[in-house]
Amino acid sequence: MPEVIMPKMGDAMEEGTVLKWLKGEGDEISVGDPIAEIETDKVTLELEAEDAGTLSNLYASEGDAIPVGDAIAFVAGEGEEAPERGGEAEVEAEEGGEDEGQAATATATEEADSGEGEESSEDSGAPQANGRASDGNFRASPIVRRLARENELDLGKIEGSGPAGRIVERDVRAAMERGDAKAGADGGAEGKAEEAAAPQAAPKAAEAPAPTGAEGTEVQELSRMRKVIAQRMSQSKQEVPHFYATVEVEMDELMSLRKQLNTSLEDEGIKLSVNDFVMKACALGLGKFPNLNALWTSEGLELHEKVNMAMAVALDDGLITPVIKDAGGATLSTISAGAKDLAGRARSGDLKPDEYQGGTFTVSNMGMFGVESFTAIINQPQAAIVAVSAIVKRPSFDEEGNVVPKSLMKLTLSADHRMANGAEGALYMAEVKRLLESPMLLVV
Amino acid sequence: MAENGKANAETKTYREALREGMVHEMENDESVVLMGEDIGVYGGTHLITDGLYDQYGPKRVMDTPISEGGFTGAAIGMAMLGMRPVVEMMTWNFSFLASDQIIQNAAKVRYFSGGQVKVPLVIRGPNGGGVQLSAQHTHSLENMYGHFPGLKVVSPVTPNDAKGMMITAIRDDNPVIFLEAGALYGTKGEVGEGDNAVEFGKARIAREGTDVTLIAYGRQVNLCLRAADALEEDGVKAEVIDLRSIRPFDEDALVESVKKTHRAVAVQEQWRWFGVASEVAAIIQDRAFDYLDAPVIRVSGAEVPAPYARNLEIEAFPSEKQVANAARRVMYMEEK
Repeated sequence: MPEVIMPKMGDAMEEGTVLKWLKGEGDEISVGDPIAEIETDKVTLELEAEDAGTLSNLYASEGDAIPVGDAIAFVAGEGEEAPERGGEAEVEAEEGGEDEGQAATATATEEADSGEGEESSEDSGAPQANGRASDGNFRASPIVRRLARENELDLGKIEGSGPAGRIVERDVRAAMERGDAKAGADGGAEGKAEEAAAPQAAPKAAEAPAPTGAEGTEVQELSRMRKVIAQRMSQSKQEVPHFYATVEVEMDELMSLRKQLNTSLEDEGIKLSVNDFVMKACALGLGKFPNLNALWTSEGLELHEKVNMAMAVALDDGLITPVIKDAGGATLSTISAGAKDLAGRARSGDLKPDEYQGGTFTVSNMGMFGVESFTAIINQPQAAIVAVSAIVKRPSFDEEGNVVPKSLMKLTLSADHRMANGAEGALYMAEVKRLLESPMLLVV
Repeated sequence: MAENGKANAETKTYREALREGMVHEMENDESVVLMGEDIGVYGGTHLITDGLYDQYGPKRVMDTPISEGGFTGAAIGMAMLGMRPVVEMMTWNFSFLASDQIIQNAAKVRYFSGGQVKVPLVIRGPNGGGVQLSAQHTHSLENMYGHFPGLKVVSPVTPNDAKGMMITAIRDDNPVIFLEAGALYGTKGEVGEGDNAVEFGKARIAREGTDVTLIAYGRQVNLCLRAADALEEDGVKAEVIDLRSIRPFDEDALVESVKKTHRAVAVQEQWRWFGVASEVAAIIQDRAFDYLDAPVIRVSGAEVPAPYARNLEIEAFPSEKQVANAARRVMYMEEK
């Protein structure tokens, strides 16, 4: 019973779009007959039949984006019938758990079958298996499962408040009131592509092993903050396709300007830090790259006019990211004063919620620890974060090829590949480098 | 006559209500006779039959020897031949001596005879504990007798039901195990006048609520009502179901209630293992599974022979606090 499979026509190809069916249901086909036009992100080509028989079922409609490896049609031999496909998906889902990815793929295909894929292609969201495919993986009371079934809710989006995280009725009622647990609400074509890629990319998180209880060990329970950090960082690393771009910035000019400014501002009690300059440069640079100053939402990218700059502040047990509002429009001295005030109060635990919420971009600085290079995890739903390393004096070549000492600092961008491409990230980092290497631009 | 006689309800004790039910049927039907130890001249150990000997004489109110197997067997024979005996077990604990007669004969004769011979027999007496009678005189036998097809088992808690179910029990053509709440003989309640017969197999909603269903029978119903009051202070509206009848059993009442509340607590004075509460939990998960928001919890007596000492006896039986906390647990609330 041969199925016609979406072929992989290039290493990067994850899905293809069925542009046009060249044969219809019921048509007799021979090996080598062109049966469909397939469009990948690079080329359009004809798909040829590998089996002879009757093209009995077209699973994909024209315009549907289908993950590589999924069936798009069925070629029946004599007296043969296409297998029941929905059933298969169900069974896979029920057999449960380990093979979640596969079930998700099957479901994605099913939804694509219904022809809704294309229309909702802008609705993209965090890839998440829907309630039906992943139902078996949640602790939930019977009525919760029934409500989820009846109202097409995705239990994966509901936090359980019962014992061991059991999702109980009140959690579902609250989610229904908020309306944020609808299955497939964020599952547009893009989301589906993620789902389709998910089998390989996102195996189910393994449960942490029990403590060994060995001599010389003690078990420290996670603090509330630690738990939040653990959850958010894991989620970001698992859900967000990070890409990284590092630039090395010559800091000599900036250092001398900083020295001048700090000398003349000393009486006013202002002392600009390197980080203040970096935040200013990052904020200014974003003017040309709006999709890096954006949030990933259920309805698409939320682009922000102003840069609300979140800065990572290390605490004894964890970290927090207070926000400097409109860092692009603020002067260096305003940024400096704001950063000092926020960092101080972050350490003493006196921040108000609106002072650490609403960030659109984050800067994380480990330069003061002498770190030469590092990469940061994106602070979801933001698009990007810049990791700031130490300024290191190193021999370098000038334009004539002479070896000269230079103060160099590495900046590494981590960006969400769903929201921006590598080229944009590279151009943005080049702009930040240009601003820092011409620091007067940050003062005017 | 008004329906269930409730239109003319009067406040009476559980004891008076039982007596009134028996008298109502003795007046209507000469074949109704009472039998038991000390029920005649002495008026009954618990004074249930007080005065009836004088009223009806020794042919209808019979003092028996201290021989439960003997007089129960005699009553079965009388019932087979058309009488309607009402036998008192001084306490249900003594029925162990008569259990061969009850289980092997009363429950089986109609079946063995292909329906030709009926056994219209009522065996009644105080069941359960709460009055410091210690281990050998404190048993709750509803699950034991409820186990046997051929018997009907009822356990009223209100005086009105005590009378109404006694009338129904005497009229029934099958042996009825009538389990009285011995600790409640002196409690008062409105009792319908005249014929207030209460149908078997119909539970009573003792209190309406929307958030959690507390299910009990016999004296634990009152416990549940008090727990419901306590829960109301937390804003929880508990529904209390009085099963009244263990066999036949009103499954629909449980299922309907749980479909509304999504949570259930089953309460029984008897030991947890193999008890009525387990049956309640099983029925609910079987028929209302998709409506449950939490496992059904059982609140039962401690797994020890009933203690004599008052403080220990209180500890050994379900408390209002245990019931309220079980309800909080199925509500996913903090226990108190």
